[in-house]
Amino acid sequence: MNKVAVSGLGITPFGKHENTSLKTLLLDACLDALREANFPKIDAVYIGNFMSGSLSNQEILGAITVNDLGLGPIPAVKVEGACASGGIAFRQAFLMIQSGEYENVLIAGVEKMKHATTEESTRAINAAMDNDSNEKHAGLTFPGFFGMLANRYFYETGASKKHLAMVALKNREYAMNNPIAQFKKTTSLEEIMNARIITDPLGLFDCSPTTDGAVAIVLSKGEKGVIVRASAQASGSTQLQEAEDILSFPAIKESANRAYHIAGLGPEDIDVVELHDCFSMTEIIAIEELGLFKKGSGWQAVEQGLTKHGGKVPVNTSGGLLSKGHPIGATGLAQIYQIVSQLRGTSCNQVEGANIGLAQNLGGTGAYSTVHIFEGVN
Amino acid sequence: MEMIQVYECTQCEKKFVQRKWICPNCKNNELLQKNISGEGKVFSHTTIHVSSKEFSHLTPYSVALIELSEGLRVTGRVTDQVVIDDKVKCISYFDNTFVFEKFV
Ligand SMILES: [Zn+2]
Repeated sequence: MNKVAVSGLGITPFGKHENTSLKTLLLDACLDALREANFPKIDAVYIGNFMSGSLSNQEILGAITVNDLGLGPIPAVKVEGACASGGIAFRQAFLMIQSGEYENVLIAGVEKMKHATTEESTRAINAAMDNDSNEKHAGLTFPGFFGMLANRYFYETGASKKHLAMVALKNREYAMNNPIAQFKKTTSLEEIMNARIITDPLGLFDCSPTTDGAVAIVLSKGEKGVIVRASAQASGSTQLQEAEDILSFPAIKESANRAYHIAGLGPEDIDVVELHDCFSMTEIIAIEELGLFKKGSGWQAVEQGLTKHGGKVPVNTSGGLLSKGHPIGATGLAQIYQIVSQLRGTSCNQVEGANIGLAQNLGGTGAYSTVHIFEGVN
Repeated sequence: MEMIQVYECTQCEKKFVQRKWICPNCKNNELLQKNISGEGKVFSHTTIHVSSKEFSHLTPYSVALIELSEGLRVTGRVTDQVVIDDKVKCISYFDNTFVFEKFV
């Protein structure tokens, strides 16, 4: 099987792009990635996107990318897996190079959400739940799912809103050094804890924002630079009422265990992590499910500063979804962008000597998860 | 009190609130509908302040995950603020929505 390396990266600023179209965001990021890779002959295109249909009435992003970049009559695919669309697109491209079908693949993720009203975007995001169910009809929203998790987590562990705020504050402090981040304003635990409630106990700072932005990556057959050590994906429950343990995401755990197995590595080998903090609560559960900390102890790890520089393993040094921003279909690739930058030694919030990095991307309320492990090879 | 309609696997008797086409427990593909008691207790809950258009006229409203006395869990709306372990019973089922109310 072929080894696969990252040969190009491109990213737009995250935030509100009032006068830049979805297509322009997507193709600007692609051009940057292709330029860095020295314009190799691209064999296929994979696009991660979740809501261009519902919010912009725009599909065929794959064919548009191929056409407007002049890539020739090559195949293109759009991948949808809610917030994991980017991670799944990356995995498909990786597998195709690993198997020998392609040598160079362009992967891009894009989302444009800021032009929609909160009601419209909430409705579109709710498409990431099983809407043909009594759970949806009860009025459970996407954030509401994670609010329920948080209340149960507090009840079982003794954690409190303060621990959620500590996650949000850490990620904000990292975002302040990330030039493309959506939120770079300083904040405090007090401001975070007293912010407007979205769904109890989650306040405004506990929820990732809506974001416009795009990321592109070129993957190539190769053994040098930053290589993909493992790619894994798993599925989990699509409804809260069917989860055996609501404080667990089996999809995260399963995808992580498969990735560790493929790479021949364990959680103790990971130098830097980007994970899916769609809500502050999700980050606490994810560090447990990735095996970085024992189940039920993630909140204590956060309290002790173990998930930042000087601790055990820095998590979400990009600012995470919470403060870097969350352009849904691009998020999985933005996480990989950050890990690759860390392993190249060119990142914001650089982790000294980082050699092995992990990116975990979640879709829906635990429905999909991908885990990718990367290594810097000189 | 309203009963809760569930799907029960004819082979392993595992119950599901939502229909399954194949039983994830034993792979049997025959499941029959059955009514069970709508009594249970709150497993978790949240009060939603921001929602989509179809529910925004209800905000703030509370949704809870109820652990029924038969063991399985169901998500429903609750008429009052609840906390974990509060006893509740189902008082209505309409438009695929279960509504629960506290009782002592
Ligand atoms: Zn069965």
